[in-house]
Amino acid sequence: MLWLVPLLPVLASVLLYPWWKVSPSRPAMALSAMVVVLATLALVAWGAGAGWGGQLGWSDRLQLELGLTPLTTVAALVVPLVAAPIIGFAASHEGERLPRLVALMVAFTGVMELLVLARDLLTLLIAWEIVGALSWALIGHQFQDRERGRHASQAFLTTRTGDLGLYIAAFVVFQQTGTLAYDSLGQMSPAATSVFAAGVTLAALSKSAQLPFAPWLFSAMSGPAPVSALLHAATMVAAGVLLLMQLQPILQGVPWFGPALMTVGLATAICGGLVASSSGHAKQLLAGSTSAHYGLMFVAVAAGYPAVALVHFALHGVMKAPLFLITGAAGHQAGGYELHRIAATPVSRALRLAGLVAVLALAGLPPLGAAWSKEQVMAAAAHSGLLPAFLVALAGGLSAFYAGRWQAAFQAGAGRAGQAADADSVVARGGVYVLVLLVVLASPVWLPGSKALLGDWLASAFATARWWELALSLALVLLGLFLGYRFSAQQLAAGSGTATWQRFLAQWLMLPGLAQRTIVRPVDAVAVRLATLDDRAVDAGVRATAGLGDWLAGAGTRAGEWLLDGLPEGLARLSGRAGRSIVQLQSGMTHHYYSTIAVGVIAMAVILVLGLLTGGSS
Amino acid sequence: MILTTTLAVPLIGALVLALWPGCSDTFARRWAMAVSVVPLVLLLVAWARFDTGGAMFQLVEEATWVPSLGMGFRLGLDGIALAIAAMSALIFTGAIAYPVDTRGAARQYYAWMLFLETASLGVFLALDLLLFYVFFDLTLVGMYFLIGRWGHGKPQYAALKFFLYTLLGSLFLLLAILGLYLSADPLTFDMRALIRQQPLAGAGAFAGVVMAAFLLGFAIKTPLMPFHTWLPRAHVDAPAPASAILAGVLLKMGTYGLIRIPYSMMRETFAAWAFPLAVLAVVSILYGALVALGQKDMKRRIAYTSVNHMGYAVLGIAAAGAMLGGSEAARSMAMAGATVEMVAHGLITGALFLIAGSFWQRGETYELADYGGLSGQTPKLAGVTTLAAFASLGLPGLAGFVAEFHIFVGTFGVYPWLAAIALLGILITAALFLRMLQSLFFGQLPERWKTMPDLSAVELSVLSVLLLLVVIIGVYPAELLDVIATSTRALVEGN
Repeated sequence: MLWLVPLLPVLASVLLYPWWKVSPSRPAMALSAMVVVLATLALVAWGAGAGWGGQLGWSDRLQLELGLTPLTTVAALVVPLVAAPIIGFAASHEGERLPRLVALMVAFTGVMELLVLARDLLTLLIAWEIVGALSWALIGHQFQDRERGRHASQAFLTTRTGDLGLYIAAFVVFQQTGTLAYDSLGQMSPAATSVFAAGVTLAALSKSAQLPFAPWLFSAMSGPAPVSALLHAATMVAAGVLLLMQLQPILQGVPWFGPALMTVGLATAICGGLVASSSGHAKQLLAGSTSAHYGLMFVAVAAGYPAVALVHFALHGVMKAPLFLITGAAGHQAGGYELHRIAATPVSRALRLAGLVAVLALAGLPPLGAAWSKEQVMAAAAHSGLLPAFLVALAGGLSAFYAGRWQAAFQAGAGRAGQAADADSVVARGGVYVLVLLVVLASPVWLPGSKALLGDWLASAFATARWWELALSLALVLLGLFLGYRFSAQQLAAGSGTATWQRFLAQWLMLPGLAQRTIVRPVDAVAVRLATLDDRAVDAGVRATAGLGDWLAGAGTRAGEWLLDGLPEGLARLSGRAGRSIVQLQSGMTHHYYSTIAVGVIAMAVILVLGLLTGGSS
Repeated sequence: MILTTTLAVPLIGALVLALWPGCSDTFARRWAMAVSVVPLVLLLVAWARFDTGGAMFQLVEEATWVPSLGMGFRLGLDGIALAIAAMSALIFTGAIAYPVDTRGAARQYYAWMLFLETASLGVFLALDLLLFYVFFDLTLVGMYFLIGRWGHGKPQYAALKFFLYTLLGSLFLLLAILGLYLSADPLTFDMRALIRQQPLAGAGAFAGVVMAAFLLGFAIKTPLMPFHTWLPRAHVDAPAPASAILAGVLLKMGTYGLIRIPYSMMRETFAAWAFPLAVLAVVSILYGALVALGQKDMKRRIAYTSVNHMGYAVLGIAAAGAMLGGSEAARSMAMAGATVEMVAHGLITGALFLIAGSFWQRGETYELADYGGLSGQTPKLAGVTTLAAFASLGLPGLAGFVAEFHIFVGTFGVYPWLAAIALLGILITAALFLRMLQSLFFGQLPERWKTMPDLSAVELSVLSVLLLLVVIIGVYPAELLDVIATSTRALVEGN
């Protein structure tokens, strides 16, 4: 029965698409799409209560399996909860080819549910790669721009590179256990588990936009703003964290796993923070921050607190989605997403207020919920040492810094004259408000006792923060907010461009160019060279065949004539007839053909003679 | 009689067209379509009758011919042959139905198509080595005329090259068949008897020579690098439906033959040769993908991906035959994967070549750079092409993934490093197909394509059927895997 959860949105999008195409009424489309996604949410809730599971056998050896654990139940609830308002916003706000966009987004939600519910590596791999393909279609939605197509492919190829790790992991598991079920992962030998861990970690890092794969998220910005919101907040990017969170009990036995993941997570959190702090582009600012926050979630997993990662995923999702939507509305009005354009565009008061709440959550300011989960990450990291804890606090400070920059741009537009940017309809606005309301409603996690409650519910442990950690963290957040706002406000007021160091950082430390130079271009060059070589080989093959034919024809005339006459049977007669038809067609190279036939006949004769001889002797 | 009828109906259909000069183009087309449906339906009946718990070869039909030499007219099916034959019959129906410019010779065109259908299905249904060889060679004749008379570019040159090169392959095949036959005791061409006998077991160097000849013959047909050079020219100049058949059906004869003859009848020798064959397959996988990436011509690009995909199939077969005992689970997976790859590649690449034909019909060019921005102008064409391209790059939920996943999992259990290296192939194919989609469908629409028509109802329905099957196999391949398992149980696990 659990299959209904992923199937409902996928099938509904296929069935509703033709209807959406013929009756392009926005409210009807928005409402029907949201109903489907919310029905999925209801199915998850119902299924969790009723203890649903699902199995589908491909063969004796391969079984697809779905199931719910406490952790995945929460994830499966968060996905449609965040997706519904985003899709409603998209249907009310976006422009061209809307039915396609909305259908893809609804289907995307379904496939993401499949990914979350998977209980074996085959199901996971299926969902994992389809998510990538759908993101390709969504990022390249505005096809008139060739660049967007290129970006879509870049995103798909980067994540597929990581997917290879998941393939290898699945091979290892099958080789070790004869199945692909999560439940059998514990039976693997330590060495195999280590290879498995390397594979899934690679896949998770690429999907969740961690170093060195992080830049694909920039390419993903080519999609419409609601697509970015969907990918970052609730679906694609979350896949990596959600996977490692589930596998953490198995992976923690691998000695290098914790330290390695911690290092990558922290490095991405800091670098992503620096990227977002220097980018002059509002969507890229948010994209850098996404990498950074997923980095923090990996830190929590690495420290042994998967539930902390889950809570931060949920709270990050509800705050990041409205930020993207508001940025989208403003950028739409401004004609671009550069901060200086947005600063020159008035934004409606209500949207600005909603944005302020969400951006303070991004900054990690108590009492908002996202601040609590960030403190939890810090407390978890503190178990691994002071340096990790300090770096998490620093990442938090950076988060506040770029949050301040974002706010400065939106605040600057407040006083401008002109048509205020706003979401076009009640549904679109409603989507933003609902998400911001969820941000506010998460605040009670700060209350004492919430930790015990969550711990019981998720059957996992939470960390305890020390007072000085909280103090340091809060100080850095306030400092970051102040500096970020001031710095950005001054820069915007002065109208000064970005400095070289800023451009370097904003380009993800030149990583995309590096990949282009070290991988893409060499492979292309090899491909073109091989293609040329192969072309020549084709001609060489022909020449060789023709030459062989000439030689054989000569030899045949000299020595083989009698044999040809002598064996006018079976194959030769048949081929001869076909040969005559060929003559009718053309006559340039027929002697080659005849000579080849002659070789066949001679060979057959030789074999027959040999056979008679050996047959006679045995 | 069901199998004999399957082969006889298209042949009779072809003869009717050949002997009736007065028939109109429309009639010829409708007649051919109607006739080509019959084998498809009969094979589906055979599928329904096939007992998945039963013996390896079923529905056997036998008539003695030259008993003293062990020759006979023997037809029958195992799970692998059934799957491939049914797929082939479908491709034929689709290719015949697909609109094509027959240059005023529709009667001849459809007659050759039907003739080719009998020959092709005959290869998969034959249970007699000699019969197998005769059908194998007859397919060359049919394809030769289809390329030579209805191709474009330099069709006669391409057709002759195709013919000569693959005839060279079947020459080796003939030598090998005779070598195998003469070692059998009693002398027989009956495949079942030869599989039981394993005539060349312990025959030393002679077995090696026969194996080399078989591998060479089938490697040319499949084709494996470096014997693939006949392929691109033939594909580019062939009319699209013939390309679809060439890639979808004719190439399968190489891999099918590999399973049916050297793998089954010379287990011991095959196991000794499995590793070099697997290495060659991996080279083909990577080489085919890289060269495809370097192509600027849509049809050539698709043609080279065949080298890549058939490389996967050969890798699976090599892994499955790598040893005589042990790792049964992995080897069965590899063999099942190789078979699914043949079916999947037939459907997917068949669809891709038909799509290429639709581009040719509209624009008379295969140059990728000539197209662009077609998403808005021809949304159906864009949708179908995208689905087929993703299927070919091995996206899960589509048939290609099921095949490749089985092959990789299976190969990993036998040759882990080869599987890991071959895995890079799916990354390169992803790149080459995505770039193809970019050049066809992204960007501004060039002025000259402002009036390009979208897919017609016939085109769309043929492609939909093929791709619907690709989706069904991708989501729920149990039915197909079940039929194939009948053979893998016998071929890999020995029961």
